[in-house]
Amino acid sequence: MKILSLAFRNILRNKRRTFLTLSAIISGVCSLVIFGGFIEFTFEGLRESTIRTQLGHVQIYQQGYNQHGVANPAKYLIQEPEKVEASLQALPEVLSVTRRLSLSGLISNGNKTLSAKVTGIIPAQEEEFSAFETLLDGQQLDEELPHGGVIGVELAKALDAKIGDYLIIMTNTLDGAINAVEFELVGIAQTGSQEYDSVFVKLPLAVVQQALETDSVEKIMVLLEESSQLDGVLTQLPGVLAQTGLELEYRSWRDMALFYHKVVAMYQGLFQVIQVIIAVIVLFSIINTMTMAVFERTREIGTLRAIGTPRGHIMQLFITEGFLLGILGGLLGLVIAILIAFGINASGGIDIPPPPGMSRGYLSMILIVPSVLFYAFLLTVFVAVLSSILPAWKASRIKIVEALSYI
Amino acid sequence: MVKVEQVVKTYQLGKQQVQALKGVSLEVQAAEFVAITGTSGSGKSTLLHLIGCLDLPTAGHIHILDKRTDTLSDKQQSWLRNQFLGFIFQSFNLIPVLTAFENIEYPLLLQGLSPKQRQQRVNGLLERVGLSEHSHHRPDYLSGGQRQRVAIARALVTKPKLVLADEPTANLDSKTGTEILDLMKDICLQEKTSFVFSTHDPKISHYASTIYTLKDGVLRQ
Ligand SMILES: Nc1ncnc2c1ncn2[C@@H]1O[C@H](COP(=O)(O)OP(=O)(O)O)[C@@H](O)[C@H]1O
Ligand SMILES: [Mg+2]
Repeated sequence: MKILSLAFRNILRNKRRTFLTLSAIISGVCSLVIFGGFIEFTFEGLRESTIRTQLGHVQIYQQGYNQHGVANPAKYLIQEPEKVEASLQALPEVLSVTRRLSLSGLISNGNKTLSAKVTGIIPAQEEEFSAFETLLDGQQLDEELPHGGVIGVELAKALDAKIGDYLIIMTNTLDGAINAVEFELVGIAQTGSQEYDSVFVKLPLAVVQQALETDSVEKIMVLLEESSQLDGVLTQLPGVLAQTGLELEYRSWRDMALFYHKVVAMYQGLFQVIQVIIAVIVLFSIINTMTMAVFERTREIGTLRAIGTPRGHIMQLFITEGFLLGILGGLLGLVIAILIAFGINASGGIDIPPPPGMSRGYLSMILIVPSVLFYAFLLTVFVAVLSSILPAWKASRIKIVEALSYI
Repeated sequence: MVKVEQVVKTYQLGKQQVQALKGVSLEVQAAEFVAITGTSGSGKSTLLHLIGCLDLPTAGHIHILDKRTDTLSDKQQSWLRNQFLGFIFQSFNLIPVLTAFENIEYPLLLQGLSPKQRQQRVNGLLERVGLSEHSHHRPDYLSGGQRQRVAIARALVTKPKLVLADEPTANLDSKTGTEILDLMKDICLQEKTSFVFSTHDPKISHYASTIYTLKDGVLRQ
């Protein structure tokens, strides 16, 4: 009411100082929104690449697989994957479905034998999942090459293997018998993880099934059109899976993406540190300008007190001024931050050098995320109010007589 | 209505103690028009501040409406100032961001009167001090005399028992000063409001019912 209008007129009265305070607030909001938008872009990129090249949105397993499957894989395989695929593909949100079967075994070129983690995939259905590795030599798996395989670059080095070589995978079948299959090396690839590059082998699903002597698969991976559809699909999934008559369980990518969650946690920690720094800078700059305002208006405060204004009202007045500065600076900051973000995105984004373990850099855009905007605004208003408390308190404690003779 | 008993006020100026009032006693009755004269530095402002509950005496007591000021909390002092006292300052001390109307209205906002009541009172006073046409002007657009009229209206809007005026005419030319004194005197008679004011103005003898003189912190009639 009245205090609001008085506070509003007061902040308009020293335009230069208000401009300084607002600039501090606006730069704070802009930093928060731009940095927040940058890490949101990073999260989104990592999320999508984790989903689309590694995990899929949802993975379906035989009931009990996640609890006991490692110790006893033979017992927890999906017997009739076609049935599951058929009912999944009936969902309009589903983009693609593929099967996987993996094994641990040995790989040999005749004179050298190393351990290997073999994944069996269906080449025709794998296009959506295959961007994970970068092919260094040769080609990807292909329907036309039923006995072709791709291995990691470190493994290829260790085996001294070249494209066109024949390699042997040795493993136990599900019944425990020793078995071996042969494949032709058609591609050498790199994933970014050296450790993984020294063990991974990618073979057609049929070859892996042959090695294990089974027709079953370990898991069925589901990719959706949009990641935002996941929650909707997850609520339908129990019903859909029940229709198959098989005993199944499922996990969403969120439960599996450890690396993604670690990166998110790290960036968020970093963001929090930056928020604190920005908040402190804005805090001190508002305290500074507010204290100047209190000094300048000492006589006026003395007058207000003399005509009967209680201390509490004086505090309220200055805190309201801080609050209004926060709201004003926050809103202006959001507008300017959004304009800057549009500018950065329109100019093609920010050039980011390759992150550790990656071979390529990328262009980062600034995402405008409502929650980031809202949070930056809230933080700003909070800081503005917080920083006006001390000057407001000082103003309310002014000695009236001294204030009245203050020049 | 006001009773000042053996009041001493000492200020600390660096390491030195300045005794601004050295045992001052005085009484003010209802509807009295009291003037305090004295050279600059004689302690006039100090005495008015103490009577106005803006500060407390170092020794002695001040009773306002039978309340001893040094027994009141800051909140009670504020309330007393708002309800029963009015202040007029040498340099007007209006709030620059408020219009004449709003400046006069301000003390009423602290009292929780309805907007209609406030408007009635403020307009009444604007008319009384002859500034109805300037009600929407800010202090910067008013002359010194007009500003002091706004200040008088602000001091009177709460219907106080006592108005304290610290050299209210010192910043005005002699003709305007006379007008202001006339106005204060009229109000004193009409509203039965007591006035205590400090002044250098030699014309004062025509107005005041009682004149005191302060010299080196000692009061004489
Ligand atoms: N806040 C203060 N601190 C120190 N000395 C003061 C203060 N206020 C007034 N004085 C001193 O007290 C004496 C009386 O001052 P004051 O009451 O303002 O006189 P007047 O209003 O008659 O000019 C002066 O000597 C002045 O310097
Ligand atoms: Mg004085």
